[in-house]
Order: sequence, then C-alpha cells, then structure tokens
Amino acid sequence: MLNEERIRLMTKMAAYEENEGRHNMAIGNYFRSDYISLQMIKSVLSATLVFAIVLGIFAFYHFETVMKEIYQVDLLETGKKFLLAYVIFTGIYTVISYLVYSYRYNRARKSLKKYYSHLQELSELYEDDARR
Amino acid sequence: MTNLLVLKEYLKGIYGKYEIYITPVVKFLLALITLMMINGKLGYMSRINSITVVLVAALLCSFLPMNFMILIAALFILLHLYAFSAECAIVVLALFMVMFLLYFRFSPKDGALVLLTPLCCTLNIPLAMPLSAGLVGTPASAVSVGCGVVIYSILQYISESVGTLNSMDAESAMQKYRYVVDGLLNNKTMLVMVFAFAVTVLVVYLIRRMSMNHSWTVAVMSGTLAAVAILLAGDLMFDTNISLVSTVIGAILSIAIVKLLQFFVFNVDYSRTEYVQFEDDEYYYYVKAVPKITVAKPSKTVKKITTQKKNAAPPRATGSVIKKTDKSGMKRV
Repeated sequence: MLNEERIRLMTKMAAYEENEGRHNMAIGNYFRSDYISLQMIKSVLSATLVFAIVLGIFAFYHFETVMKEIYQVDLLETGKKFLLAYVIFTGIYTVISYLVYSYRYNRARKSLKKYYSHLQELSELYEDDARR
Repeated sequence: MTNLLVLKEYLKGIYGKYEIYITPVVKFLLALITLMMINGKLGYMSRINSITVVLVAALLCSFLPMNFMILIAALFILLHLYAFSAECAIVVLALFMVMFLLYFRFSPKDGALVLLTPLCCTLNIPLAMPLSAGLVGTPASAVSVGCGVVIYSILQYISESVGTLNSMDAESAMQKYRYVVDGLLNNKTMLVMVFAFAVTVLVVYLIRRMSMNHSWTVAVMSGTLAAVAILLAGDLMFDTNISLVSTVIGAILSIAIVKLLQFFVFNVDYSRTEYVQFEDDEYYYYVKAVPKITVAKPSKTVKKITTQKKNAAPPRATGSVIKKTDKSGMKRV
C-alpha cells in the first residue's frame, strides 16, 4: 500500500538531495580535517599561481629595467624580498580560506544532521508499516 | 496596495507552475543582452560579431548553469580583445585569472553579480547592483560587485582609448601593454567606484539586518546616499569626471528598480514545482510536487457599535465601522 506520509517525507528528502543537499553531501563525505586541508592545499596552489601572474605582469611592465639591471642587483637579496612577499600573501590567503572552509564544513554538517534525522524518521515509518 | 499583493501572489503561482520554462527564458535573455552589449562595445572580431553566433551562444547559456554564461561572456571579451591587440587580451586574461583564482573559487554562486554589475553600469543604473547585493547577499558580495566594477572599467578604458592604442606602432607592443596596465592600476574613477559600491553593500547589509521598522527602505536610502556622497567626494578629490546629474538620476532609477525587486522578488518565497524520483522496496515514485497557491482576497470585517438598551450608559457612538483588512501581509525574512 502507498503510505502518503512516507511519500511526503521521501519527496522532501529527494528535493533536498537534488538541490542544496548535493553540495553538502560532497562535503559531508570528508572528515573535517581532510576537507579543510584539501581546500587549503588548493588555496596555496591558487595563491601561488596568482603571485606568479602578478609577478609576470610586473616583470613585463618593467621589462627593460629588469633586463638592464639583472646582472647588477644582488639576486639573493631580491629573491629574499620576493619570497617574503610570497609567504605573506599566501599565508594571509590561506588563513582566510581556512576560516571560510571551516565555517562551510560546520554549516554543511548541521544541514546534513537534519537530513539524517529525516532518514531516521523514515526508517521508523517503515518499521511501523512492517509491524502492521 | 492590495491589488499589488494579489498580483504578487498571482505571479508566485505562475512561477511555481512554469518555472521549468521561465528560468531558461530569463537566462537566454540575460545572455543575449550581455553578449550583444559586449559585441556593441568591443566588436573587433568579425567572426563572433554576428547575431547568429550570439543567438547560438545564448541558447546554450539558457539551459547550462549560470557560470557557463560567465565563461562565455569572458571568452567573447577575450576574443574581441585578442583581435584588437594581443597585449590588451593578455592583461585582461591575467585580471580574469586573478579574480577567478582568488575569489570565485570561494563563492561560485556570486558569478551573476559580476555579470550584472557591468551590465547595470552600462545601462547607467550602477547603484542597482550594490543595493540589491546588500539586500539579499552577504558582506562578501562587496567583493563580487567590486570585481564587476573593475571589469566594466577596464573594458570602458580600452574601448575609449582605441584611437590611442591604434596610433601606437605594431612594434611598440611594450608601450601598448604599459598603457593598458596603467589604465588598470591608475584608474582613479574605478577605485572611487569600487570603494563607493563596497561601502554601499556593507551599509545596506548592516542596516537591513537591524530590528527596526522599514529597515529595508532605510537601508536602501542610506546606501544610496553613502554611494552618491562617496562618488561626489571622490570626484572632488581626484577629479574623476563623475557627472553629478547622471549620478543622481541613476541613483533615483536604481532605488526605483530595487524597490520593485524588493516587492516582487526578494521578499517572496518563489517555491517552484519540484520533479523528483526515488524508489523503495515496493515502488518507483515519480513525484511532481506543486506548491500550494493561496491568493488571499481582501476580506471585510463589519464591526457594529450600537447602544441597545435605553437608560444605559449615555450613548457614545452609533453606527457601524467598516474596517478593511487584508490577510496577505508581507512577510519579512
């Protein structure tokens, strides 16, 4: 027999799974530390890429000066300066992304908790049915 | 007012029923307008500067996700710029990459804001975007709107200095490149606009969350005032050539648009028909869940105040008072 209450619950859950739930479930598959560290690695990579792009634009902009002075400047000193800038930039960006992603993980977990409670409810409905 | 509320309920009903058709049509129109504006403004590559290509691209955008539309728009911009001068294309590509890598990795859903902000700037209602973003978005939307302004400014700068760039020799690629980078970094108008819009988003966001009456209206008004004040102050300080008249007219138009949106879109729960399928041990279910429509009609309550008994308390009032109420008050979210 069709159980209307059950169908209503399942419809709600299926709609959740299809919409915002899909994203949350992808997050929920990870442990907190795994998820956040994966995202932080991605952040470090994109920060590195951005730094490289900006550096490239800058170097190309001052192309003639760079070419002229490349043999005169203290390469080690300049390298240190750039490295420091890179570390600071990447560090700040990674900290921001840590905050964002830990917030997102918590939010997804909270939302999934509700989903799991619906799941529990559903299994109870099935049990009731079986007893009848 | 009551008629408007009934109209809103009616629209809600239509949306719930025909969402499956309405969304693609809206996306198609948005893509069409965006691409035609890009072609109108840049149009250097004749191959994609034809209505057929635009129509095909817009049709693709109508059923693919929103971010695909942004990708297509970015591709159109880059191709046009590449046909004009490779240096411009490189700088703009670098700009897009930086924006994508730093920000849109976090909030891919904000892409629409980046697409709509340049569109509103072109239509001379630039404030509509920061106001709407503040009303429905988060403080982070300030960054999205800022990115939109940066894209608009660089494109505007390039399309304005076509003559200058053309007069430079083909050999002086370096010079062209520097000219474009300068336009990006030393663009005072852009900086003032980004700052003004970011402040607007934050002001609107903070005020609309306050627990006071009419907080949304107050938020829109104070956001607009803040933006106009900053734009004009920026004009005085950096001589940015922001016209007072067009700013004020644009601001008034933006307020009107945002109020309209607020009434019909932002405060309304446009739940749509859901098509889902699932199964259990016994059945396959193909469910179409249609949201319930309640068009509340204004109802009349008749309250009679009459003195029935003689010699009772001296009569104070006789007659009847008709009080009109409507049940469909606006819900505040």
